[in-house]
Amino acid sequence: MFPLASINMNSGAAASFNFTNIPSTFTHLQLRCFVRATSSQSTPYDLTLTVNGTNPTEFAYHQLRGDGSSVSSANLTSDNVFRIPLAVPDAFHTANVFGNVVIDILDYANTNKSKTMRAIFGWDNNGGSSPSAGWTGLTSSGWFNTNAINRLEIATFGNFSQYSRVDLYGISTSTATGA
Amino acid sequence: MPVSLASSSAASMHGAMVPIANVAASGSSNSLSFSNIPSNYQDLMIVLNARSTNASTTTQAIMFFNGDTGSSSYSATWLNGNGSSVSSGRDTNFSQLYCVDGMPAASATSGIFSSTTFHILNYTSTSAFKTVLIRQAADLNGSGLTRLTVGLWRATPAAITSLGVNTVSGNYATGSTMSLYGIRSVGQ
Repeated sequence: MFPLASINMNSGAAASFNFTNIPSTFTHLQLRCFVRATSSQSTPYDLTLTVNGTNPTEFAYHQLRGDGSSVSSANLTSDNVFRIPLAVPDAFHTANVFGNVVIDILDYANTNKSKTMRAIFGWDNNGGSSPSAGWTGLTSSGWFNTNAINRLEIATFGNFSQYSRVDLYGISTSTATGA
Repeated sequence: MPVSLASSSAASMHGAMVPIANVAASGSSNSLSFSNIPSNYQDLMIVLNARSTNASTTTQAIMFFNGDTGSSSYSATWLNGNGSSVSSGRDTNFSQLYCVDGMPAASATSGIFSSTTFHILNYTSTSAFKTVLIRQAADLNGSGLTRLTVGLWRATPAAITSLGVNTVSGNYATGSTMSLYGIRSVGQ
């Protein structure tokens, strides 16, 4: 696992994290996201990953999640992005609370496969009532396109808050092969 | 905020995941901990492989940071599956973070340990509360659970310099281990 790039918003809010010219020399990618939005509503916002520019209707997701009182599952097809619903707390929620999301994109440079993203996410508000008290869950998302991923734009509704950050890592595999 | 990776190559890079420390239980203590955690990483990852000596089938474990066990600054939301049903629950204003459930104890089949991975992003930030993503597995061949927990520590945003994970009942059984890793970012 190698650190590829890091973007922070320590100097102020901004709309997105953009990673371009992602090299194809790794086997997998990992994104470690520390995020909060400046907009305000009780339902937390989605975290979205636009891949290689605009690719309308080529994505889908499934999610298993808990809100502190019940468990639910959701899905969407013909989406435009890798999507992690409910992962970004915002100005409605307790100050200084950021959503944490760890995203793995396996075999991102393989041109014979559609791409799959998986994520764990969570944030906790120290009480309140759903949907504003906190969420944790697992998400998988597919991009039904065999192009290598060379560009990722991470966004939410409106701007990310100051001190949000995303770190991108490349994961290599051994060159040894089994019998 | 854009960044181009056009000049990146693995050959010139350091690995991101750095082993910092490891502790192993001897059976005489209910606590595994790390102190003087260095501040020169972006994230922390902790791997706990644990079993309790308590005379029961399972027990729990609690986590705390910087010795804070009395300020009611911990909360958590979890998602749990036990093989037949799912559930979600919440703790608020707790004095410690309940981080492991279903840890095998003395009455469970011997040799079974629960496995738990903790991710703590931005652990040195003094501008944000600390969130812990916890993935846990504990299968007892007929019972058990898998759980995803998000924990929050709301101490006035403080860098994490020490942490501990204690069993709620009994001591850590011999063979229990806890490992601490630092996750480097670019330039670290």
